[in-house]
Amino acid sequence: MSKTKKHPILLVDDEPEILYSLQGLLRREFELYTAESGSQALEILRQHPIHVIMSDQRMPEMTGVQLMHRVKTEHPEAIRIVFTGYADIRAVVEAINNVGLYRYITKPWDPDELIEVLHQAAARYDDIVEREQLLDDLHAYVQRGQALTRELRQQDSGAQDARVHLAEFETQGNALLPRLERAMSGGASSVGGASSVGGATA
Amino acid sequence: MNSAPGTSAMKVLIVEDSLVTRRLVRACLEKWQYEVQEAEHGAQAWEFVQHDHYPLVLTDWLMPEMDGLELTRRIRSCELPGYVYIILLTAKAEKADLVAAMDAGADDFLVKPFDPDELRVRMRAGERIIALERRLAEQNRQLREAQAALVQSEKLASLGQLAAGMAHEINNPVAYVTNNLAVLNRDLRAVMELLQAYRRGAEILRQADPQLAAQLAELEEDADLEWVQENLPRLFDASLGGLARVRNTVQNLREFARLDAAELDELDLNAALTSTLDMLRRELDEQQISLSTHFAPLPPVVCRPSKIHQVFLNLLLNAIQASDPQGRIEVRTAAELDHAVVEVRDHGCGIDPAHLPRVFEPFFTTKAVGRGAGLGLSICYGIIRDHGGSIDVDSQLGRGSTFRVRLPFRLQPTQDPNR
Repeated sequence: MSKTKKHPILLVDDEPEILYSLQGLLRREFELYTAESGSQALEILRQHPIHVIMSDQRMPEMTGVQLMHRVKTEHPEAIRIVFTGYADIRAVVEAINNVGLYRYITKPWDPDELIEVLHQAAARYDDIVEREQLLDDLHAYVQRGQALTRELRQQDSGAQDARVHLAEFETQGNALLPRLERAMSGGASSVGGASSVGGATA
Repeated sequence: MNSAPGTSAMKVLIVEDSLVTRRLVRACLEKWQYEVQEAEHGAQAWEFVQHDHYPLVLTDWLMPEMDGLELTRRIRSCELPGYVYIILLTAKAEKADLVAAMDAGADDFLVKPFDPDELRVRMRAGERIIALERRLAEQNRQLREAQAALVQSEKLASLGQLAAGMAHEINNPVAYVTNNLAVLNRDLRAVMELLQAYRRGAEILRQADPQLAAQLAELEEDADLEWVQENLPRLFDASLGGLARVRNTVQNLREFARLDAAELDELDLNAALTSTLDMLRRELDEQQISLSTHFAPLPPVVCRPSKIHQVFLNLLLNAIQASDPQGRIEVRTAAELDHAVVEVRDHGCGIDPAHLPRVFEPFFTTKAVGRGAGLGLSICYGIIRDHGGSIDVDSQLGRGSTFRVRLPFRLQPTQDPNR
C-alpha cells in the first residue's frame, strides 16, 4: 500500500450524527464509506474494496454482530470491528471468536485511540495482504524451480554430484508445494485469528 | 408471689395524702418486687410523671392541691412516651363515682378499705395490660421499620431502572458530542494556523487592494480574534472536562443499575480491607487519622471481588471525608451464622437524622456541587443487594457514623448479581 493512498474504511451506524461525527474525525486519514444499516453496508462491500469495516452493535433489523457474520463469509479479507454502548458488551464479547472480530470499541470512544485502532486494523489488513502475496510469489518461485530441475535432470549432463543434489532439491520442492498450497487456501479465510479483546475504552 | 416483668422491677407511683395508707401500700408493693415512688398529692405526682415513666400509677381520689381525678385527666391529655395504667383508690363506692373516674381515664377502681389480695390481683391485671401494650408498640415499630425498608428498596429498584435507561440514552449523544469537540479542536487549530499565515501577507494585500484590506481589518476586530486565539484551548479543555464528568456519572449510574459484569470468585474480606486501607494510606496520613482494625477470622466469601473492593473503598473514603483531622476510624469484621459482618465506624460529623433515610438514594448528596455526585453509597447499596446481603447505617449528628455490611458466605443461586 503506497503512502499516499488512504485505506478505505466502512462505517456503519443507524444514527446519522454518529456517522457525520466520525467522518469529521477520520476524513483526513482514511477513505470513508458510510452506511446506516447492515444491508446498506453489504451493498457497499459488494461495490468497493473495503479494508476495515466498523459497525455499531445496536441497530434495527441487523445487529453489528449479525452483519459481521455475513461479512466474514462474503468478504473475509475485511478487518472487522464492532463498537458498542456498554449495555451490549456481553453479546459482542461472546461474538468475538465466532465472527473473528479484530477489536471491539466502547461508546463513547476516545478520538485519538479510535484513530490509532483503525490504523492498526489497516496495518493488519496490509500484513495479511502482504502475507498472501508472499505466499503467492513463493509458490510461483518453487513451481518454477521444480520445472527447471526436471528439465536439467532429463538432459542428463553434468557431474554425478550435481545430479544427486538436483534430485534432493526436487524431492524437497515436492514436499514444500502442498504445504504452501494448504497455507494459501487456509490463510485467506481466517483473519489471522488475532481477535484481541479490550477495545479502546474512553 | 408476683414480680414485675423482665429483669428490672416495674416502677409504680403511689399518690396518697395519708402517710399511713401510703406506707401500707408501699410495704405490700415492695414485698411483690415493685419499685415504688411516693407522692403526697396530685401536683407532686404530676411532676414525677412528666419527668419519668411510671407504667402504673396508684392514686387516691381526694387530696389537697390536685385530686386524683384531675391527675388522671392530665396524664391522659398529654402525650407521654408510654402508656400509664391508672388505678384510682377511694372510699367512694357509688356507681356515679365509678363512672366519673372511668370517664376521666382511669383504668381501674379500688374501694378503700381494700385487702392486699385484692390490690395484688388488680396490680396483676394492670401488668398484663401494660405488657400487651408494650408488645403492640414493639410490633408496630417493627412493622413501620419493615415498611420503610420495603419502600426504600422499591424506590431504589425503580431508580435503578431509570438509571439504566438514562445511561443508555445519554450514551450516543455523549459519544458524538465528545468526538465532534475533538474534531473541532483539531480543525480550528489548523484554521487558526492558516489565518496566521494569511496575516503575514497583510502588507502585500494593503498595497494590492486597500479596500479589501480595510474590510478584513474590520472583520478581524469584530471577531475579537486575539481573544479567540487566546481562549480556544481553554474553551475546549473545559468542555472536554465537563463531558468527562458526564461520562463518569453515566458510568456510576450503570454501576448502581448493575449493568456491568464481574467475575465470581472467593474473597478473603480481611485481606480485601487491608489492601483497600493500604490504597488509602495517603489520605489517612494526610488527615492524620488513627486507624484501628479488629479482624475476626472469616471463611472466604463467594462474591464478585472487584465489586466488593469498590464497596470497601467507598465506605472508607466516606469515613475519611466525614472525619476531622486526627480523627479515628475503626474497621471491624465478624462472622455470624451464614454471613460476614463488616463495620466501618468514624467519629466525624455524622449524618443529619433527616438525611439518614435517603443516604442510599442515587444523587442524594450533601456535598457541594461538583464535589460528589452522590452515587457512592447507592452503588454500595446496589452491589451488596445483588450479593444477597444488606447494608445499613447508624449515625448521630456530630458524633459519627457506623456503616454495617452483611454479606452471605455463599451466593444463593437466585442471587446472581448479573440478573
